[in-house]
Formats: sequence, structure tokens, C-alpha cells
Amino acid sequence: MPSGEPFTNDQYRDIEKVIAVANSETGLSYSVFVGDVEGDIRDAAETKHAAFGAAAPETVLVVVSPGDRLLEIVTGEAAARRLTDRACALAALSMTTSFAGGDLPGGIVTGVRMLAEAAGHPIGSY
Amino acid sequence: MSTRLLAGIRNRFDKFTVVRKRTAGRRALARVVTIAVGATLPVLAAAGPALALKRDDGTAAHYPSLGAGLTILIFVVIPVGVFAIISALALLPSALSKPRYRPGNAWEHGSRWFGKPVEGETVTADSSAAPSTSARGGASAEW
Repeated sequence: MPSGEPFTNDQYRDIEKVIAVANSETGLSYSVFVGDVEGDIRDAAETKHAAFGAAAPETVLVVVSPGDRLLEIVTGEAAARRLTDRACALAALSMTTSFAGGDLPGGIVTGVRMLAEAAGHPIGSY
Repeated sequence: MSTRLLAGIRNRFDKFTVVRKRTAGRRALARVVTIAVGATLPVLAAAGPALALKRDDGTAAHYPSLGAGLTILIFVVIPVGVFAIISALALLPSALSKPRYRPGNAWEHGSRWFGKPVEGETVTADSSAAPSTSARGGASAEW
């Protein structure tokens, strides 16, 4: 497989759109990393999560390593209150099901959407 | 009018009874003749070309030969060309599509970070080297 862009422009747009919608619906900050990670994926994911600095508590980071076939979802302190580990596991299961079928962008879109629905709307938004 | 019609029908019926009165031997003869004629006539009709005055073995002697080059062109090059064109058309969609991810393949696309932290939020390098304390939950999965 030659190197280059892993997704088509439409797929990029779909992923960026679903992240933007998730951010505005939940008030949390969603982020998706796709690519190889070095070392343990949990450590790498937590390091990437820490890179958000002041925004880290509200950040939900999804790390997808297609080469290792590993997926990691990291929630910050504020995000974890609204997004249980059980809901994350359900989204992770749905994503890996799509990934196993070779549908990387579809799994990411579905997963972010599920995470957004599980988090719900921010209190006081209605 | 009706009387004449009835008479005619009766007349035919009488003839029919006469036919039925023919002996079994004559009927058998009629059958044999019918079968014999029916079996031989198609054969003779099909054998008509054999009686042609000029023999014709199917070759078009009055046409010039195609020649080796034209024969190869018509019977080899063109069929193979048609085959190649159809094959190319069938393979075209998958050849044009971008290489997609397949489970088990190595990832050679580099990395892409959607919703990457903006520069102002990024903490200094020494804190990213240390174990993170920002993470509170999440989930792991593999496929």
C-alpha cells in the first residue's frame, strides 16, 4: 500500500464534520488521532491527551492505530463524568467492528457519534 | 336450402361409411405407402445439392485469399484486443480507487490528528514526557 493520504477528501470532511457536531452538541472537545503510536498505546494516548493542557479535562481523545489494530479512548476529568467507561467501551466495540471490516472512516464517524450521544447535552443548554 | 345441405351431409356420411368398409389389407397398404414416402422424400430433398452440376466444397474460390497477416488480424488480434479492452474496463474502477485500509496491513500513511490541540494549549515538553494525569477514563479495544 503506497503511502499518502489514508482517506479521501469526502472522508476527511465527514470525520471533521462529525467531530464539530459532537463538540457543539456536547460542549466537550472531541479529538481523533489516526496513525502509528510508539510504545504502549495507553501511555501514548494519555501523553497525547495531556498535550491538550488546560482543555484536557473536557477532551475526549480517540487514538486509532491501524497498524497495531488497537484503539484507545481517553476521557478527561470533566468528560469522564458525562461519558462512562462503559459507554466508551460500547463505542470502541462499534468502531472496531467497522475497522475489522476495513472501514476506517466509517468506524471513526460512528464511534464519535456514539460518544457524543452518550455524553448528551451540557447541563443548562435547554 | 336446408334440405340440400342435409342431403350433402348424408352423402358424405355415406362415403365415409364406404371408406370404413374398406378391407384391413387396403388400409395397411395405405399406411406402408405413407410411411415409405414420408421417410424417403425428406432424404431426397436434402440430397438435392448432391445433384448439382457444379461441385461446391464451400470455399469461395472467386474471392482472393485473406493472406496470413489479415487472417491473424481478424481472428487473433481483434478478438484479443476486444478481450483486453473489456478486461481493462472491468478492472478500471478498482484501479482508480484509492488504496484503502485493510485489516492486517501495516499503516504507511503517516498520522492524522483531527481536533489537534492548538499551540496555546500545548504544554511544555517535560510534562508530556512525564506520565499524564489528565486522563480519567476511557476504553481500550482491538480488532
